[in-house]
Amino acid sequence: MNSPAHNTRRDFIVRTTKAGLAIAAAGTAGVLLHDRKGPSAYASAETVSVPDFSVTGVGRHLSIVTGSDRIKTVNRALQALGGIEQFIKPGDRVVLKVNAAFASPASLGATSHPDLVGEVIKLCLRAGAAAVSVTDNPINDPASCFTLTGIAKAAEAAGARVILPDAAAFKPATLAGGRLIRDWPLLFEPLRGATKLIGIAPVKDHHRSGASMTMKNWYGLLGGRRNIFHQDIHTIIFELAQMVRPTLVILDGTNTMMSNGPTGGSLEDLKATHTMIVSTDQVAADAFGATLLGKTADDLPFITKAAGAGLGTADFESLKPRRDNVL
Amino acid sequence: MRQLCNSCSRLERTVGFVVLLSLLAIAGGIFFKQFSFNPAVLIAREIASPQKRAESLAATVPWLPAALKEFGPAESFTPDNLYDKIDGKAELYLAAGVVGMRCQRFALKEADGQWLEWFDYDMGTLPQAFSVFSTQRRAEGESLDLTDYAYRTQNAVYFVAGSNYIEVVASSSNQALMNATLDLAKRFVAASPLSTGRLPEFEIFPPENLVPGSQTLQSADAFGFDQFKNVFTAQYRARDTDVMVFLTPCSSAEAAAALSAAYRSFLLANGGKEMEAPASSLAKPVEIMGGVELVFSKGKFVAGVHSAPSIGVAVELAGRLSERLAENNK
Repeated sequence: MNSPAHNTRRDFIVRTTKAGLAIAAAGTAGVLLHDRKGPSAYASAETVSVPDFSVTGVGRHLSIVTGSDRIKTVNRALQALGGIEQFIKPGDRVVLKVNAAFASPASLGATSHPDLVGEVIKLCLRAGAAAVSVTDNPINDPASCFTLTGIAKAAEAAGARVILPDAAAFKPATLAGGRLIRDWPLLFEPLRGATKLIGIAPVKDHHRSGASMTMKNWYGLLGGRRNIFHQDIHTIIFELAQMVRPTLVILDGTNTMMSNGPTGGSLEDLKATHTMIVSTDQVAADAFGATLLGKTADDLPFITKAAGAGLGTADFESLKPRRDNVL
Repeated sequence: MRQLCNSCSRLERTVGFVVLLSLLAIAGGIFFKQFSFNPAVLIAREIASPQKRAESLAATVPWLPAALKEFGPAESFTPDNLYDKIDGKAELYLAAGVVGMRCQRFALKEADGQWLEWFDYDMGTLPQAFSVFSTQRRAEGESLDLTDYAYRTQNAVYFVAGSNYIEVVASSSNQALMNATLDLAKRFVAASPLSTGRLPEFEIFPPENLVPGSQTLQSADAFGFDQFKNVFTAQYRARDTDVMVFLTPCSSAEAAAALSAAYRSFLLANGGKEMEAPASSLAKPVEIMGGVELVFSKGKFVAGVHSAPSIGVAVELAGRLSERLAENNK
């Protein structure tokens, strides 16, 4: 008969072996059943990415034109970069990503100005664009936003199609290496088949990010409960700038919302800064736009992050901006 | 127990350690994985949060002016979806404790192109309503004899009515539209029994050289100091410049003294330098970012002067505020 101590040791080894086998079996089953992609928010398996809309060989350029008439200043700013024909070719299908976030009148400066949107549409069509569409995923009810801002009327009058977002327009997108944009709904259908993308945004104060300009404008491509990104607003703007490489950005600093942004509400929130910025470098455009708000690029972490990642330059003077004015 | 442990072999101990280490590794893996949780899994499905349709303001109140008609449905928002209406500005209201918001657009009957939007923020308390009113106040605004806290701009009217903060934003400065906007506000106030109410803390501030309409209440993180909550401020004209004076109530004199010391430490830890003070000074001023800070406690209050242009101005204003606090404590 074995001693109790010997029995205990042998029992222990037997039990440990059984336990080990059980753990190994469970672990193997876990590995086999593990879904490395994780649960998806979508029934559809289609994952999309935003094409590169920049024009090869054009490089980084910036034009700054002062004047109070948006139609004149945007024309002069585009001419300074060689004309719209440098960017829009016959047959192009152009998407204008405007800021139609709020159902507020154009006069309050919270949204892209309809006069500017209408003029850019006309220029694109004149350059031979096969079609121009205008889109955004507003904060408020989309139909009200596009109507009350005057953007819908201006766009249709100029010959563009307004694309309001609906559930089918969003597809999950993931930014490679991104921390926030992973399997997130993106307003993609308006971009499907497009060959050029132009962002049109006003210069605004923003309670959370410090400023809302061309890079923040891409926030309107996000769907879902995107407000959770406000907890890390500079990173989401930076990731959007990584994801979206536009043909051009147009930053409207004709009237800058100096305070109480992004909604504003009072005409007193605006300052007549009479400046139109057009650029192929969204970082440089925002860096200059910051000066209209009395800030520098260093005051706005999303600009320094984007510049640090090589998405553009915060030293806008290094682009030797073409300056002009139309009185 | 000791006998049992002594009888364990090296193999048993090794196996035991391996099991424990495995469990620790699993726990560690779970711990670190949670930081890379993808929120899209839970909330990306919502392409747009449905806004709650609220009962029309016109249907529930008798004060809609005859010149106006409804120009859209009434909507209501909670702290969870206030963002859906005002985007990043929601943070301002959330920090101040917003309970809910109702809004609706109205238009002039004679002209659809002239419209206004009524925003009614239920802030829960008068101080919270005043806080969001004061921190957004437009310097160019013109005071209105509507409630204790009210002003207008070219195209909008802003006021505090009891625990509610109201914004009426018109689409333009059109005279007929602004008349209707003001009429709407007046009718609302007349129909609201709790529209008036003053914050007693502002009675403590010295009246001499007070810049009219400059009072604010900062709900949180006043002057970047996370322990400063519910700080009442006002601007004073002093030697051709405006200087901010502040006070905040505490639960006891001891708590006030501790908070005052903590703010002083915060200033010194962030590059502030102690300055020599005249004998009349209530505390040693601190020079920081080109201005002078002077903080002290008096009874249950922490009070002080923020970013004064000189020691003399800081000491003088602090002295006047201290006298008022002493009178208030009587």
